[in-house]
Amino acid sequence: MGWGLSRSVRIEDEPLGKSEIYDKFEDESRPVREMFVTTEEMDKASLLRKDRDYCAHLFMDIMKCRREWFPEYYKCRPVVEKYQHCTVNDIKHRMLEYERTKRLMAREKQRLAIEAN
Amino acid sequence: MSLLRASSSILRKVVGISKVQSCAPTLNVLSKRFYDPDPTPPVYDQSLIEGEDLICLLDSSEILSPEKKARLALKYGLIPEDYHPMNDHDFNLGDYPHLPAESVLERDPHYDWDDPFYRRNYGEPISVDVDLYSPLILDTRPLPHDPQQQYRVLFGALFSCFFLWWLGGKYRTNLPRGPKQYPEHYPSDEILHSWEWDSFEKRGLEPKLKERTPVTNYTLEKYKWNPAAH
Amino acid sequence: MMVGIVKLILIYLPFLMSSILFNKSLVNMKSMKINSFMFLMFSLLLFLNSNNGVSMIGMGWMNMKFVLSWDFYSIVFIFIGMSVTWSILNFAQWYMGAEVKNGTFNSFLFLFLMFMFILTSSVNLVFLLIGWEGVGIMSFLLINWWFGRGEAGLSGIQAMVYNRIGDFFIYIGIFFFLSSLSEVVMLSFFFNMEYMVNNLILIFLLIGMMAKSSLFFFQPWLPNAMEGPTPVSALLHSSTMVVAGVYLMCRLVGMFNLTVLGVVGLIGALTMLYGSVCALMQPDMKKIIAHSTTSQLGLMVVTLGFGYPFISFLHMGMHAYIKSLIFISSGVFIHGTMNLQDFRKMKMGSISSKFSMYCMFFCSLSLGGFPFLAGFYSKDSILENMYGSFLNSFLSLVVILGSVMTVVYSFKLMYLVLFFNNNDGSFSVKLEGQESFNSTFFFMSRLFLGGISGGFFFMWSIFLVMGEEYISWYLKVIPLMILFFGLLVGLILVPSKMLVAPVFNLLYYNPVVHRITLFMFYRSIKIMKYIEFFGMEILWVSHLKKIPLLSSLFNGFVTYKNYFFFCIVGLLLLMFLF
Repeated sequence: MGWGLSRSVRIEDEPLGKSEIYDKFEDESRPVREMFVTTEEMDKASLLRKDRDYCAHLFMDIMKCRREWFPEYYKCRPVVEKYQHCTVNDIKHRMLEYERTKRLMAREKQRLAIEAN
Repeated sequence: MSLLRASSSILRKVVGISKVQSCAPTLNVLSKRFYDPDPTPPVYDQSLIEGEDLICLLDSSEILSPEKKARLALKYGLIPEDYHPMNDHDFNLGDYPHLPAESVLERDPHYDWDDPFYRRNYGEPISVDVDLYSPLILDTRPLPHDPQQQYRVLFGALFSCFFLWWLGGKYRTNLPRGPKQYPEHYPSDEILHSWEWDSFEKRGLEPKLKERTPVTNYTLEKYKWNPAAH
Repeated sequence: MMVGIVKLILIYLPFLMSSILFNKSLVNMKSMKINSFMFLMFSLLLFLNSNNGVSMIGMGWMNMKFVLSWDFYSIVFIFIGMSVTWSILNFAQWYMGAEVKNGTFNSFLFLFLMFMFILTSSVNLVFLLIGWEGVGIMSFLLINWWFGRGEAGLSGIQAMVYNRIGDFFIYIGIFFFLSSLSEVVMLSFFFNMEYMVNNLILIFLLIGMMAKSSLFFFQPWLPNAMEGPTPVSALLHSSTMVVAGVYLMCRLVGMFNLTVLGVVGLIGALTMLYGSVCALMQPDMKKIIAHSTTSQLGLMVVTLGFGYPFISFLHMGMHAYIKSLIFISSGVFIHGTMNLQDFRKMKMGSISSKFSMYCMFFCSLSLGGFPFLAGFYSKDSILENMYGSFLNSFLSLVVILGSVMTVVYSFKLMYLVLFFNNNDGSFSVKLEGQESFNSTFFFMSRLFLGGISGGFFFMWSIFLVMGEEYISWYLKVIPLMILFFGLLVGLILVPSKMLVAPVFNLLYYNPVVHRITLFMFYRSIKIMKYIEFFGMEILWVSHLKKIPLLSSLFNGFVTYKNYFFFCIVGLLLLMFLF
């Protein structure tokens, strides 16, 4: 829906595929992203690497639910929906991070141009 | 090609042979080596063919006289009009006839062939590429439509698809995303992203690589997301 | 947990009882099949319940470990393959039980499946080649099972040659892997390895998979493979051979970077368009189904190109159930019409059961994506996740277009079955229909369950967490719109016989593509002939005989001793050179 127009044509202005730039513009005054389970709890649940993200607590809920209602997995539907909601928010957060980094890159470029002049 | 020919001529000079063997070597070595208790009659024994009946070399500068052409055509069971020697066509195969490059599938399937599967009569000369033009390998039957037009249509459609693909890659419809954030940092992640290979043995031997460090990430939201509210 | 297991046993109690009671001994063939299937099902459910990652059994030396892995992909594939092949074997017993060498045929089918399981369960790329090559050989042997016919032999060799091309490319890819990474175990590829591998290696591997799965530019062998018996086609198209390439791509897609993923998507899109247009214009019943397989494989590969191997794998499983049942019911039709496949001739009426008719009808609907049938779940997931992927917008358009065409050719098949099948004729016709129903119901009903309600089972028990985004309602109804639009188009076009017009028949392009693909081979054969001529042929080489030192080389023919000697010398030379 017009999202494609927001992108710059020049690839050097985009933070696409440059993972170092995100660390460069990190701001520590922002509120800390909260993790609901500890590393030890995730170890006990034997989660895989790809599942150890900020939705891990809901993923563990799903696994517990599956274990509880063994053949009747359809009872876990509300838990799964919660997990999906969390993943959607995670993706939204990633998009916001991308946009923020892109704007900061543009601002830095502008600043460098002024300094050079 | 020319290099190989030159090298062969040089070899000939080095070895000291000026006389060129005119006919192909016979197979009598083989027939002598193996005892055949039920020998084929001498007329049918191919190894006993000698002299002019073998495939002979032709001089490429020489123009064939009609008499010689008729004689050679008779040797291979052809009429003189159909006979074109393979002499110096691709590489020198002597007076063996140059047959049309067509699969046997092109021949009439309803004719009473001596060999109906390969569609061939007895005594008919065999193409040099007989293995290629066998009915199981190659099908050179004419296509139902004009092949040139078909090539045009096919490649036109293909390249228009390539162009649209390139265009679709240029103008994407969705927002790009940043990398996924994790609450902990594994040293092995860096190894996987580098050019060095991370083997299971190495990771098992070095307990340092198993150690994880917590990572703090930051949100853009002023208020935290409450799952109970949704 | 315990209550759940008791419930599960209660559900499957009739199966177990039938396997024990209705046979005289436990070592009976039938009860063995049932018991092995039950064992697999039980292990699958235990695996799902425990949520462990991977368990492996194997041995080896250095990097060359022959490992049979018991991970998600392999165990789900074994479950699908077993349940499909069980029915197909029964079908083969019914369809060609009167023919000679029936036992050999069954053992070939088993071997085919065994090689496929080796392929799916090995995580080492080198040992995977055992299954890869074995599948190719068994497909060759089974496609020209009726080897007395020239066409069968031709199509068998065609399949073999195409697979050879792909095999050589995949060999080169694996050699590159070994030389650059010194590791061929695929388990690490689940992680993100985007910057590790050169694009060229990935393209080599991709070409190998293209040839195996008959994707674009390698597709002509698949419709020609219809020369084989119908059980072979059912097995070949559903759970072995053609899905091998897609399966391997599912495993390796973790290391494909965005550039190669774009190429993967392009190939899938081209295959999907080509296959669906071919299927639209076919008058032959089996060829429609073959081309529909091509288009569905294209859909799977497009999904891989979007970066969703999980959903692609789900579609593969659903497609296995649906396509094997469609093939089996088409086999029942062909049996009833005395080996007629052209549906223009089927107007006379065919002798078959109503049940096979319903099977074909509902499975075509399911393939088209009718809500809450098996194909709906996978196709809906593909279409929903497609909007969220950061990839080509052209490919999403092609997927929607191809889905509409899928519905149209499924409608064509349904129309064929419903309106051309008049078996309310004489009493004997009805009797034979009843007979075929009696003998085919038991194996078709199992697949019918899988093809209709398998989606629900797979979605909610095995592939639990699927969609990562909620989408708005107008995107949510796109699959339904596709279905209705496709049915409308089919309703307009199919009865007016526009889809049989030979002018638009894209099958005429198959020989063209075939000749383009083999053109390079003729060139290389030409070069090989030059090498052969100057390396082995007469004339100037024969003069070397006169040198006493070399005379032992050219004494008529090369013995094994000479051959061995020169191999050793050559290898030593190579070793010292590099």
